[in-house]
Amino acid sequence: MEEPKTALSIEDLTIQYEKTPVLKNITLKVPSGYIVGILGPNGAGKSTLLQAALGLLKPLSGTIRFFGQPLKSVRSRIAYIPQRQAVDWDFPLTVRELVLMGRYGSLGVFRRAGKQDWQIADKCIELVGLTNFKDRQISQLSGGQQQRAFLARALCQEADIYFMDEPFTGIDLTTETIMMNILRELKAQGKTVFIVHHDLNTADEYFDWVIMLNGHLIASGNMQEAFNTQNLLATYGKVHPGLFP
Amino acid sequence: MSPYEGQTFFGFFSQLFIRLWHSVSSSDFSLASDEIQILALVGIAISSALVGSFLVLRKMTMVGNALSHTILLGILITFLMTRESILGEITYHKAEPMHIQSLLLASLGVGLLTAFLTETLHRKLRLQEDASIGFVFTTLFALGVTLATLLTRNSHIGTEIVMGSVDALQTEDLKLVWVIAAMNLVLTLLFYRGFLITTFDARLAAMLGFSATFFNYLLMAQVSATVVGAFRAVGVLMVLTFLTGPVLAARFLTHNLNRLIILAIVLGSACSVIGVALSRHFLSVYGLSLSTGGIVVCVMTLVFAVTALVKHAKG
Amino acid sequence: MSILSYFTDALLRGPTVGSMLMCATASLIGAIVYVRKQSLVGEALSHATYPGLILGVLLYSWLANENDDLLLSILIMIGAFFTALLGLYCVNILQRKLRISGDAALCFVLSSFFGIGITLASHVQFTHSMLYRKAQAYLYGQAATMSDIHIILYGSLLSIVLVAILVLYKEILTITFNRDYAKSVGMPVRKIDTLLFLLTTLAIVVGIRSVGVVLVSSMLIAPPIAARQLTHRFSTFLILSLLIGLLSGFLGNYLSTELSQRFSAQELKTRFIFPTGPSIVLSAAFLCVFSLLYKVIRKRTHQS
Repeated sequence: MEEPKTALSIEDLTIQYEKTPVLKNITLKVPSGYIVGILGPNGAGKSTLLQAALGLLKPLSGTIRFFGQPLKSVRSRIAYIPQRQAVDWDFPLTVRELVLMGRYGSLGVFRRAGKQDWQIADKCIELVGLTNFKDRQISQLSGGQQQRAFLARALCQEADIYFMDEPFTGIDLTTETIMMNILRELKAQGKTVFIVHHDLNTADEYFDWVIMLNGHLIASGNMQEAFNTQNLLATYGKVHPGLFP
Repeated sequence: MSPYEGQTFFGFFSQLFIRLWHSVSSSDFSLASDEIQILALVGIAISSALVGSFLVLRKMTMVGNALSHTILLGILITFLMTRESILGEITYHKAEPMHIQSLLLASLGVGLLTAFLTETLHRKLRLQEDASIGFVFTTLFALGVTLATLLTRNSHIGTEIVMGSVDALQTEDLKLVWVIAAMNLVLTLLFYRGFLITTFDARLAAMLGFSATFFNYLLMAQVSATVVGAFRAVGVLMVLTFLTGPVLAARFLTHNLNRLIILAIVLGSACSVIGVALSRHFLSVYGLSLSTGGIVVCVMTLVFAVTALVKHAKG
Repeated sequence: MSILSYFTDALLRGPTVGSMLMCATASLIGAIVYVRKQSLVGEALSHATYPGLILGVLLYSWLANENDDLLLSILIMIGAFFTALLGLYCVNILQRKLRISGDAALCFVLSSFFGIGITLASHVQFTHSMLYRKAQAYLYGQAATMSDIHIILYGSLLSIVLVAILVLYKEILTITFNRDYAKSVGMPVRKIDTLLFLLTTLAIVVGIRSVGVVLVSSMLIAPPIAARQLTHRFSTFLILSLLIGLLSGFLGNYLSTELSQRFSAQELKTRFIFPTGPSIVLSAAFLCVFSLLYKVIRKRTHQS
């Protein structure tokens, strides 16, 4: 049954890694048009949830649906931004070539990237403010600029759902501003963004929906409703003193 | 006429024991070629097990491979300096202490050169580690082969370098092999604790004042010496089986470092003896003159496969 | 000998162009292997070809009646390909099932396969001595006896590799750079991995005729290193690797031919053949060192 308003729907998801459960019985529904923060301490299973959603991991049980459909039907509508450490930045690649990668998914195996694809890439580069760095090798960028390049690649995919793994780690203020503006723009267009995030302090600035994990689901809901002391205690075992003065 | 001529595999061993008794009881005894081979290969197996254990555990086997290639340059340098050589048909003089010394020094020098060049490429020029080491040793080896071909005027010298010639070993070669084996034994015993700690626990090593760099270089020096000793017998490439095979096989049977090393020594030596016996057997029974070094490698591979199966079957 | 004659002379052009094509193939694949940080896999693959080479020779002796060099080349390549893949399979098993670390697995497989090959070769040495010498020529490469047929053969193999890389350029780039991203976008990662391994094995098998078993891995390492110093764009990186491989193939042949002639003239006895392999490798190494120096100098002038 079509559920176009539910971006992500997870039913009884359990994931094991070498006989140890990492995530147990996760069930949640997230409507589209939100910027979602996936929160939890180290080892809570945040990145695992992300990887399962993207089909990079096989769960022991449970289902994951996007707009009511399985991953393989809607792959072209989902974009992934991995952690910056996932990649070797010394790779012989220019910023332009990296961003162009975002067009590959829609091309399929036998077609080659054409002029239009390059133009889209250039436009996305402009959106993130990296036009002057177009032909630079990717290791010549700062951490924040690299993050923006990743974002540009994802934007090229023109997706409806975005998954980002710790995009706000170690970035400069300019990058943060640019990224938040783009995310808000995506939200305005009705897109949904899922972000694995580790810093509690900034959570309420960025997100309007939270998924709180600690091996199992603590809470999933609106920022105002779910992000409270009780849930924070259950997730982190403590509450940061600066959060609720 | 070798006392082992015409022997089959089992006959070889009975002859071996007879000869053993003969060597102790008789005053007029000289080593037969098969016995020289056994002694040489066992000596190489001992050295290889000692350094190979640490190479494998420290994940430095590729360094072992690299050194066994670049050592060729060291041997050539010794030749140029002393006009004596362990290469090919060039007259091989008695291994005077001076000769062994210069050989070992040259090999040490080349070992350090290899390490230095690799580090420079990797750290200074920011080249990937695998490409750095691959580039350095293949280039130095190509240089070595070119020089060797020019110096010996023998266009087949390259083949001999990678094949070794166990059957051409003389008593003099034993001296080199066993000096190196003794050296390795002494050094390993002396620096055992340091090797142990720097291999398994880098932080503890640093806390206790053991320099990881020192032990790395010491190991490389020992490896250089080991491959020089093995060069004439088994050549550049097969020594790598001596370095890795018995150790990997022993690893299936134990996790204790002491036992691992001893087991590797035992397995390596056993394979050597069996290999020589088999080589004689093939010659006597089938008239096939096969490469003894190759046969030892085959035996080691078989032993590895068997221990792997045993470990895997146990689950 | 003028340079042009290397391409026109009936005796010279086979070896020269053949070597160039072979080295180009190896270097092109080498570029991909380089970015996958698997430069040393070439070592294992190349040494694992040795027993297959000998088996190919044995097969030839059973099948062929007269002197058919092309059949010999093909059988050798098939045998080499087969044992190289077997070697790769063993390395995989050692790593996955037996939990042996990658470097030890590579080193053990490469040396034991090579040792088995040497044992086989020592058998062939006396039973088929003519063929034995032909097989041993593959240790360091002997391009000298290649003819125009080989140019066509190796040209075709290079074309296969080129076409594969051109068609699958996007997939190869993405999978190599960012594997998880490639998976998320639905690229057939496993299939491309397998294809790349097959192509790498093919490149090595093709390369051993000109550079030899012992040294061919350097053709997968040196030209890409050189190319990397000269560009940071991926497409250019691939093209430059190929070109540098091409150039090394030529220089190596040129050097070894000139040196062989020089030495044969001096010695006056048997014809002294300077092995091709080391000359090609040294040429590639020279180009590599040159590029590294160029990069260092450029960096210095940039900073000041």
